[in-house]
Amino acid sequence: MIRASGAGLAALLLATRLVTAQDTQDRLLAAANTAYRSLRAAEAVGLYRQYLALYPDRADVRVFLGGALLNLGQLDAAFDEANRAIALDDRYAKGYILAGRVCAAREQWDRAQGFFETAQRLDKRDPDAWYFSGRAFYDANRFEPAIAAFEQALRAGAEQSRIYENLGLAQDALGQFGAAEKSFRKAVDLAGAAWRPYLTYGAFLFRQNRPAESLRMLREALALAPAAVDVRFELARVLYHENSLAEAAQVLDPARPSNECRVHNLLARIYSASGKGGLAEAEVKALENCKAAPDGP
Amino acid sequence: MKTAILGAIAMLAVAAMLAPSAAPPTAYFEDRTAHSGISFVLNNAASPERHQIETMAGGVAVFDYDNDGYPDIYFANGAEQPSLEKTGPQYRNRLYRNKHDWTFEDVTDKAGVGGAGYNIGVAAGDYDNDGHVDLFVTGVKGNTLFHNRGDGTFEDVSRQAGLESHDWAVAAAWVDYDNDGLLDLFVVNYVKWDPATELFCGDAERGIRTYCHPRYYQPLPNRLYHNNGDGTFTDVSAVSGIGAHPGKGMGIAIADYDHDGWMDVFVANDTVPNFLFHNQHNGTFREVALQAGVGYNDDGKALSSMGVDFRDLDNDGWEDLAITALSDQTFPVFRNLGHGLFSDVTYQSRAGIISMPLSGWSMGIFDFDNDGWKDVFVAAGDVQDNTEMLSSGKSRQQDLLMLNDGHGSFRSALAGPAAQNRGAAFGDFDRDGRVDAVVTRLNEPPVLLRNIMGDGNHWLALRLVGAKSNRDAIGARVVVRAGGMTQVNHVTTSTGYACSSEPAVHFGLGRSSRADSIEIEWPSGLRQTLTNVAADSFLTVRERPAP
Repeated sequence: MIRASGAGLAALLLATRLVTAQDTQDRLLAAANTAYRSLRAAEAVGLYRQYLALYPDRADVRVFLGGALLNLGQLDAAFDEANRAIALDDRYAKGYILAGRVCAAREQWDRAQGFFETAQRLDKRDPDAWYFSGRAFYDANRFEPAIAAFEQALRAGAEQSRIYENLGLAQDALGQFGAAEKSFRKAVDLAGAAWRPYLTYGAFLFRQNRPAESLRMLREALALAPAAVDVRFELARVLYHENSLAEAAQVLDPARPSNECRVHNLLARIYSASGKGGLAEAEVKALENCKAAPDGP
Repeated sequence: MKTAILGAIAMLAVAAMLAPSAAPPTAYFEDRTAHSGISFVLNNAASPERHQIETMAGGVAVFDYDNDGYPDIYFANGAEQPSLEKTGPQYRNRLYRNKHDWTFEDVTDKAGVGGAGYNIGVAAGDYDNDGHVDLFVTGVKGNTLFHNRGDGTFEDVSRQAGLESHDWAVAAAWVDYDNDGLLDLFVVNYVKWDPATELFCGDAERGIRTYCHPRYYQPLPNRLYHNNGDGTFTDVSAVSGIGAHPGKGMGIAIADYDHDGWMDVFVANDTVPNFLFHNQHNGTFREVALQAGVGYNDDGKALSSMGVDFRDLDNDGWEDLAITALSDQTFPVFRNLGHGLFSDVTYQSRAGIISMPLSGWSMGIFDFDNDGWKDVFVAAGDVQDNTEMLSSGKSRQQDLLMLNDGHGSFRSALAGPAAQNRGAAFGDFDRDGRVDAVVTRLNEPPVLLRNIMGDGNHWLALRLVGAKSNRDAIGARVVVRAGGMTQVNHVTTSTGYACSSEPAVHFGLGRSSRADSIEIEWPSGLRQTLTNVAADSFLTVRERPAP
């Protein structure tokens, strides 16, 4: 009885330890996923690697790790993870999607689409296979197939803001301004707390010479993402052209630490137009050692 | 085939499908190439290696070489590769004499201007003030100055003039930067290029080769040559400050943008910031593009700037800039705010959405419909000849006409046949008061476009003859008041990309049949005023002798 009780206690302790260990691993994965979603890619990579040291056969986690590596620009390592995921489960569509994304980042457009097509065959209902295919077509300046891919992603049942946003960008690139605006509106409707759809729509409205509507969207974006340089730049640009120079400077000045050329360039214009020659000259000086702006969304 | 393409049919410019306010289809230009007698074909000596020079050819000049009052046409041409020599007639530059009836006679041999080497651009100007317009031809491995003897022939005087160079020059401008009455020469250089080290660019997976991005080539500084007045020039690039700024220059335009009486120079650079050289009145220039707000566009990006013109688009008296660039970049429009600053109004003017799908090369700002508001014509065509294999873009594009609505906006129309258009130069070939165009196209004959716009609108064109000023009066500023409107323009031959246009100063007067006044500010500082001038005529105005 005692022995039995002892064995039971041991089993209980073992079970408790196992549960605790499992709990720890779950927490590790959750933390990694949170870091990934929060765009803390380096932290996510570290956490995913810790997790995979314990569970090396998780194809899904290898894809997450590859995604984080891709965000860090470590394309070879990301591609390795995609291949490992595919080796673990060659029916797992996400592995091929990751491989396609890496190829797209390398501007290997045909190869990328080959991976996306495999993913689409394996899981017709995975909108990501179509979404990332559309992104790759867009980046390759092939806007018609990009639109087709985004529309397929929507047909796959994904009412995602980012798909509408990218659909709008492709339509905009082809001069289909009416359709683009509808897509941008839908992206904003579905945006939730995401700021980028407001920014994209606001920038579109500026290009259409509709500054008042543009300002409304961009102010929404700023409220959601006060730290985003993209948002501050676009809002300040519209304010500058609307001759609201003081507010334009106020909006853009916090983006100065980014040292992006476009920020210094616009600040120089704002200060020049405001008659603040000294400040303008300082911004022109800063243009000599600035960083190029990142490409669009 | 070409005849079919260039048939003398009234060409309906397709109203652009790009914008909600695009005009309904209207006739803008009539293609007069087919029976013009122009048989020139721009030969870029295309190679499988896709050498960078091939996509850059196409300069053309519109100028009156024989002083018969009608503008003639000179085409720059390529050369064999790899020798870069004009080894056969297919590579010769061509001079066509205007026979006043939309036909032209090839006078290349007689004139002796077939050229040498792989040529890109042309600049016309009477550098020796002898009343006969001379030609400067740029090239990949050397430039040529053709002196017009006045008897229908030219002489290559490059060496004795001191203008020999081995830099790859694209464009040039004649400009009297020191107001001494002699035209000086500003030469726009592109990049260091060596066919032996040309990289493979394109899609290696599919073996699709493309012309390389300019980032793979080192920049070159431009050159400024001071006219000594004795047929020779002195390279003043270093002392003037011009040579201190390496760039990747393609287009050049001149204007006194701050109205201080001294000509300034804008250079359109490919993928690096543009240059605005502000004349310091002492033989030197200060590069102020970033301060003035024209180095980058509003996005803080250095575009693939190619062609440029520098004239007052909004009739506020200040010279604005319109520039061409690649598709997806827009063709920037910079409004001159009048105190040394410019504002990027590309999107406000609708130039942004109009130009987004097109790659623009040469261009010009002229009042094509004579309504009193200057418009913009752009020769369009992609850099690549295999664009469709790589993107949604098109290699062959129609030219773009951006018509100024007088309220700060353009409406768009497409004109001319789709092609890899490159050069465009402007002049009134039939003296009907409408500015016509000639457009060059890679590996095809050029297109001669007769302007048929602006029925019922009046116009004035002035040919200015300098006395104390340079004889071509390049740099002279003209203010015309008519029908309650005031317009400003100036004399220049430097328009667009690698091209040279007629120096006559043209004004559309709309419904006004008279100009109340015409004020001329000569480069010498002299001012002349004409009053109550009847419209619809070409006026020759000579600079008054100095008192």
